[in-house]
Amino acid sequence: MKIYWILLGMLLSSVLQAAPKKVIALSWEATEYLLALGVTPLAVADRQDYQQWVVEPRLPEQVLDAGSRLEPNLERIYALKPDLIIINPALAGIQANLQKIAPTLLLDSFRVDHDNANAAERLQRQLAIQLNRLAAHEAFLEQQKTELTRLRHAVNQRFKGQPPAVCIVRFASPTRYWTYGDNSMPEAAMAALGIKNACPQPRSAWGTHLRQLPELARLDTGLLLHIAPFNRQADLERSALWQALPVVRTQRVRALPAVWTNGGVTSITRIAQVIAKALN
Amino acid sequence: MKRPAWSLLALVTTQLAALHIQIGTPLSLAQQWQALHEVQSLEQLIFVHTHLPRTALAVILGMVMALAGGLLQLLTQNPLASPMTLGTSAGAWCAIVLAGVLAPTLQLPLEWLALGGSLFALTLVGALAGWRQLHSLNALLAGTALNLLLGSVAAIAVMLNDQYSRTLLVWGTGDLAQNDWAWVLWLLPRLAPALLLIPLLCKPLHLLQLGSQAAAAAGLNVMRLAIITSLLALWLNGLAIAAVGIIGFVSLLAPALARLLGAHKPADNLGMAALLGAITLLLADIVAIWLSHHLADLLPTSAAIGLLGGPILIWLCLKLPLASSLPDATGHPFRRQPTALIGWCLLAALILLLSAISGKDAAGHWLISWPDAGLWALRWPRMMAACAAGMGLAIAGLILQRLLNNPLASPDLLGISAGASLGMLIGLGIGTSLSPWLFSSSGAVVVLLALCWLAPRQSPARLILLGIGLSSLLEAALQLVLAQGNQDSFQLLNWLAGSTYHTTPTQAIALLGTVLILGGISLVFARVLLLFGLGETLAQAVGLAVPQARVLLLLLAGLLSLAISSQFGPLAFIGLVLPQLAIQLGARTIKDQLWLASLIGAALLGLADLASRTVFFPSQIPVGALASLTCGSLLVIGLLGRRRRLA
Repeated sequence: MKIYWILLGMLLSSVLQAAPKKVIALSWEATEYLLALGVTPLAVADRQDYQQWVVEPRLPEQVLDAGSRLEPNLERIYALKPDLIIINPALAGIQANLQKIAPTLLLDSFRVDHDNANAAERLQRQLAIQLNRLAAHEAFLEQQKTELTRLRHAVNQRFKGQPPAVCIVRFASPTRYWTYGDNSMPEAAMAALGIKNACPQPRSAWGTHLRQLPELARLDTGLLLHIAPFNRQADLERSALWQALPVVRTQRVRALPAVWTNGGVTSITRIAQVIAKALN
Repeated sequence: MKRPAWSLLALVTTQLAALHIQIGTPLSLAQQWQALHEVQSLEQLIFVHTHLPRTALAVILGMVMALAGGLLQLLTQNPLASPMTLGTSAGAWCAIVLAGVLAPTLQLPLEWLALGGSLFALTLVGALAGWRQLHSLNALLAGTALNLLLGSVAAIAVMLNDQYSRTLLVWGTGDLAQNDWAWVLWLLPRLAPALLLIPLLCKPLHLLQLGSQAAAAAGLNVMRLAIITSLLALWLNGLAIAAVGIIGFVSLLAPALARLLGAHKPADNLGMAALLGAITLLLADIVAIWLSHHLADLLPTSAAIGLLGGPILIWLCLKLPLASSLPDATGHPFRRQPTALIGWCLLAALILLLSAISGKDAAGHWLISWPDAGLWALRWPRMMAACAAGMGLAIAGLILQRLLNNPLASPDLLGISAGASLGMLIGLGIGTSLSPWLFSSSGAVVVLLALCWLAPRQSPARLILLGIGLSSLLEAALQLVLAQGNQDSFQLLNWLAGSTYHTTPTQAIALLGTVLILGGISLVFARVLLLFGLGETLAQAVGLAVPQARVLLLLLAGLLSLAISSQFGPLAFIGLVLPQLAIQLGARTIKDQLWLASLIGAALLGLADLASRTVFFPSQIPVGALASLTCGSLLVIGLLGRRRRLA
């Protein structure tokens, strides 16, 4: 099967010499798709923040900054003369403007009415076809699948088939936190590892919900994994309620390194990696 | 003040506090009682560390905020003065945001940052409105303009650091949730100066009610009293902001309600305001807790209090007596020789040309050359829209300043931009695929219609008050969206900061056309404006149909404001400063002033557009926020210059 795809890819590449080479990604999930396909984008939006918040996959040094994700710099994009621009629905309002500069592809990755994890794979494939990179896409998927299977085995072995449930949160303030439920990338990572979500939430477009600290008191079983960085960590840990939480008293809290929760397939694998590491 | 009223208020406070404790917890009273001695279950733990401190904090902070507002109202003799309406809360918040974004590692103490920021804001309001005018509408006008300005400064800081700021947004939206008694214990010793000073201040403040001159004649050191009282008020408000973020309204409503209930003596007024403050905050927090239980999302306390307090505030605005401001007696002490308009035209054209051909190339180097067709297509709509907005705001500001005979009047205070923003918020809340412009313009239209209906029935000063009331309501509603700290929050912040980014060519042309037509009409009515500038009685005497003329002028300014704010949101200070600047630059007649103000408006916004594209390249800052900042600084510089010349 794979060999046919590769053949098809080669055929396409010989026919379509004009496959886009200079691509600008104006959303972080699109940046992730491109890097996964082995395509180095010409420029991405919010380059510095990407390096701080998404971290992986690493952005090569030569990639330029295209301005903010809310209002990318149209004049710079124009001056860079890209062959393809990729946006998400936040920029749908300026798609017509971008279209004047170069063909613009809108990737709608996060919706309440589709499965975000499946959509990430589907959209990355769509991009691969457009960029003539189908072979790379297939190889990438294979590699991710292998890695996830390996992680799943490791976790299963470690807990003898009974891994603990985990609850993944990101603190917003010492009293409130975002948690990840149905349709979120962390839950997709848990599913891939065969782990249950210890704090299930109703389905939403991004799968995140803002919650209050006392709700963590109901976390009887499983581990609490909180995503760094949180700059008021000390305030939180000092508070009496935090110290009295069952999950804290029984030392079932682990910190996760900076990991991006609104990305694509790479993000899922990376979340799975940090979960597996935290469980060890 | 009668004793039964006091007992009743005290009773209501305790009742509400009891209800507040009960609404959050599923425990029975016996279990709650037991929890106070010995915590056995998890629910009891949550009860002791979450519900009880939250109630305590609601009572204490309600009192603290009411006292802060009450002190300011007594000092300024202005029934609508408060940290919210004078812009000092915005100053405190701005200082905290800037420190958090610029120096996140320093971890400066929040209460001192808040005090510094609010002192800065109060100084600006004093300088803008005139220290002797704090009792009048002028203080509120300056305060509201400052609110918008500082809000957009904070918004720029937040947007340049958006990932980091998400937590800042959630924290700053004023929520009373607690994890333990730490904040209560933090707060109590810091309240000591208030408890010591307030009894000492009551008598001099009572004396001040005679008027500052009479009080000074009676041997009162008015200056010292003013400094101590305002510092105390700002300190109290700063404590509240440091503890829970911004919660408006309480500081304004509680003392005003106390006065309506008949507590006029400072001691009575402050005491009753404190109780009413506790009641208001408890009530709002009960609503917030109850709604958060029943909605999928968390509702911050500040949003609940906005929903409760907004309508009351609007009612108060229409009801309370307010000293009308004195006409600007100082006038404009220096005037240059009148310059030929043609010269200004050339200068403006030159500036616009320069802004049109300057930019940065792909590598970030300056590039000054005639843009090719593609680049030009990206550049001209936003630039044209910005220029049109500058002209329109200048014209609308001029009309309003003449109409109200008040140099601090400006179109962003009419409530139309607040209506547009509220419409936008509703649109976001519904989450349709319809153009957001549809919602913002319908919000603005509703307010404009209400204004036209009210115009013949209410004095113009009242209409402005209504606009201020609406702006406060908007701020409360904003908290609700910002508190979620998600993508919508940032889009909204961006829009509120006055971005021209999404302007299409059609919109730009339509806006310019509208502004030109309405500007032309204003030119025709220059004589009417002149007559209004001489005062309504005089205008009536020479045969002007004042009520009709008033509606017409309001409609003109309102339409301009509608066209601009439905696209760019509120733009502070531009409409306030430009007409003044035109006079400073030598405009002698109304027509000259109109021309000159709109020329400067176009040139200034053109420059702002250039700066927005290039200063933080490749990031962009909203044009509106930049222009507001420039105009605000111009005003402050102008004021300082005037002070020096007078000294």
